Amino acid sequence: MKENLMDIICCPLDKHDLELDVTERDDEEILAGTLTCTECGETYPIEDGIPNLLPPDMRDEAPA
Amino acid sequence: MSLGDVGVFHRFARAYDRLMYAADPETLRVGLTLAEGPVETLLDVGGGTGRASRALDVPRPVVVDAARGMLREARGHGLATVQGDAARLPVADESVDAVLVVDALHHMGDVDGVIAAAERAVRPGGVLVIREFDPTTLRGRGLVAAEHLVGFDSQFYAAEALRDRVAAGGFDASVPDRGFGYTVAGVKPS
Repeated sequence: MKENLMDIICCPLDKHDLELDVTERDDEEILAGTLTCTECGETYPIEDGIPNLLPPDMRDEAPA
Repeated sequence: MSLGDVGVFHRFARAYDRLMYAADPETLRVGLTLAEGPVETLLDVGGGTGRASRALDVPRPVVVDAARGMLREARGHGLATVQGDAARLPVADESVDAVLVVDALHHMGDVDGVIAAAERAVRPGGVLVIREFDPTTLRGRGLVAAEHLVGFDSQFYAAEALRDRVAAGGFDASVPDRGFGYTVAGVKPS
């Protein structure tokens, strides 16, 4: 994902802003990291450049 | 919350892109042009491999899907992707100009929840555009039978029924394109 996606994405649970923590980057692309809700503290992974913002109750059901 | 047909899609992502209808951009544009003001940021919800986003000339499409396999394909085409639930969209209030749901609503368990999530995400004057198949047409009845045969738990709506549900969700709703495939558009009052 590109960093400007932060302009629109939010926590799927309470719709509050997310804090970005990047662990792997390739030029403009964020390949790995986490997004943490500034309100409820829920953490969402970014893997292979795709942020997983499924609500936690769907995250475990969804195919990896 | 039901995942609907997500697992099936994950397994068939590649084959799906070859088999399904190419999204005809004209049938989507007739809905998008109803928006007041320009459509720049567009959420392609249930967008899968991003066929509709690729067919349209919108500056900033973002593909949202619950199935990760589909999103990998979309990302491979250079599209912005977010794994998320259509009924609990992970985007800020009034942050997008348009929400598009192309050939996907019949796979979603909570249609009113999807419409409500779109209403929250779209700015005033923005538009929700849904492309669906009409089950009351002859070809539609065949499609319903075929989807159930391959294991999809699909629920199809006739054009007027879906328009009424979009209207009930707070949109000024219309059916700008009719037929076996039809388009329902809803403009968020500004």
